[in-house]
Amino acid sequence: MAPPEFMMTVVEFDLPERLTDNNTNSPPNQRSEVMKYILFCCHEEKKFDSMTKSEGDALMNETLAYCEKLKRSGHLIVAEPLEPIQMAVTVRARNGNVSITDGPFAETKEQIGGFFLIEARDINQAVQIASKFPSVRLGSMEVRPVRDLPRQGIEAESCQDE
Amino acid sequence: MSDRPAKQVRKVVEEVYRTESRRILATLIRLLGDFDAAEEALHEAFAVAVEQWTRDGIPANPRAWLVSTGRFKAIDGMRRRTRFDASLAELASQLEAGIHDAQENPDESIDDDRLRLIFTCCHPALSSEAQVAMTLREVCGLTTEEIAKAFLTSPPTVAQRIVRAKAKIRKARIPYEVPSETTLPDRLDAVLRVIYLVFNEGYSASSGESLTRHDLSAEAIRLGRLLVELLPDPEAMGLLALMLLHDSRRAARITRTGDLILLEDQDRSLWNRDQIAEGIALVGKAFASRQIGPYTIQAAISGLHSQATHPTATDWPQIVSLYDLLMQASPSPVVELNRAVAVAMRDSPLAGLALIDAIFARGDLTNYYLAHSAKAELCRRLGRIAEAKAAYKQALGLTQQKPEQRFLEQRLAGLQDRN
Repeated sequence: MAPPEFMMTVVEFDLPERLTDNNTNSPPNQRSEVMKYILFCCHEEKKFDSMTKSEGDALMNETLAYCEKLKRSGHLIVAEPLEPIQMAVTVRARNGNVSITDGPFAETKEQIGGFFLIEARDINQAVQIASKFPSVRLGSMEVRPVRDLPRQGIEAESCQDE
Repeated sequence: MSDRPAKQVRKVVEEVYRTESRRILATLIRLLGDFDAAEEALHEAFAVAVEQWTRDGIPANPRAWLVSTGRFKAIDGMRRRTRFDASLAELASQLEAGIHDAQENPDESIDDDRLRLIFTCCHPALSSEAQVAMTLREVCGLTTEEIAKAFLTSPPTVAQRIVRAKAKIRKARIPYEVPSETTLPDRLDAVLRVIYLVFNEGYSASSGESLTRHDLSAEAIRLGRLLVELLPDPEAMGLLALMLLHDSRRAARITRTGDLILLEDQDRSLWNRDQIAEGIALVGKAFASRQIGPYTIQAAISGLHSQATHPTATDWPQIVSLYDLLMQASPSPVVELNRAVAVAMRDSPLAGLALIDAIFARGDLTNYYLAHSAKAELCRRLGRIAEAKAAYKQALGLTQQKPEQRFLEQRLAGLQDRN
């Protein structure tokens, strides 16, 4: 008879109140108090297109209300929805020739429908903020840390461009 | 100074390194805010200890001495490098300023630091392979080579995984903290899962010749004990119990030639009674908390097998009801399969077979060799030899493990003899 098999399954269960948050003990090497993260709002455009007007409006209103809340708490820097991918062009420059093609840079099942630039203490807080956007119930949200370039680095780069 | 005390001191330092280095590392990571800087500081502190303890004697609290020496060494290093990177100067003074705040009660926060380290290594932002590698490297102190050997991969692969994980911790800013209450259940699940993965890898290697890699299982049990000690959560106890109960049968579950022996054919006198007693006690404690999770239920099932002095004495009705409970807590086709086998043992092979066929009919577990091998066994008991053969053959095609392949071939050969 097959021996009892290991199972890799875990469910949620209640835990007693035990640990307090130790956030005040953040490492001293964090040069700034907050970090920037960009949230890419990903979803299937088809799914959004098939929503009724009232469903779409409800989602939009809920998102706007949440953005307003994030703005007041100082977390939100920029929030922009995007036009659908049919409006996109992709530009490449190779050997001095610029080519322009119709559509997004990659064909994917989900498309980027908007982005938010936020400030958060760490990835946990960024994830927490991302998880409360209404759109994550339908699609997903990519949380990407914004790279912290030293100021002189950016200046040097822009000089090269000129 | 003479050679003898130097030798003795070296021995003490080695002992302290063996027992305390992981705790000291955990604290240094918090103080310095960086894994690599902490590791460097740790080694520098131990190097200084050999020298200074020979000269001045062994300090009253070696751990506190090593933490503060490591920290000063790190600050010194930063100051020296200040010439190349001005931002380090600011960082060094920040670290220095923090010393007075953090000097108090070095022992009090040390357990928290170890928990911080565990939760950071098992952060869901890291891939599960990276979680396992980081936990074994940072929490258990295994070398990259040891981890690579245990997981049958190359040291550069493991090293790269660790480097990437550390970079992600730094760049995405994965915090060094014990999760808050609201996220603790999910985060603890991730930690338990990593420990379980390590244990499973040791207990039942996913491929290759050797069925057990004892070191990994032992390491997982050590981790489980550490977690229960630091965070006495019922499911952490359940997982530790489950690992102990499975491990108790280690000596009985394979032959000298590395072949698999099924539970009912095992020599039960070879089972480790101490591990069984400890496992069962932990199950009792976890059940008493009334927060019963899937690890605890699995441990309880394993405990019932352990308590049966003979296969026929197994309390199958009780096992079936525990599987019913597990189906509520954590439903999955694999749990259903195990329940089906328990039903077959309680009622009849035919009853079990009907349940397994129902799982297959849904399209589940068709690629799972244990499902086919369970079906084969039930068919054999019912005398349906052709069906049994077909199911064993299907099972054979689905496993890569040599001992399991040999086992299935033997079963198949046994059927051929009967015809």
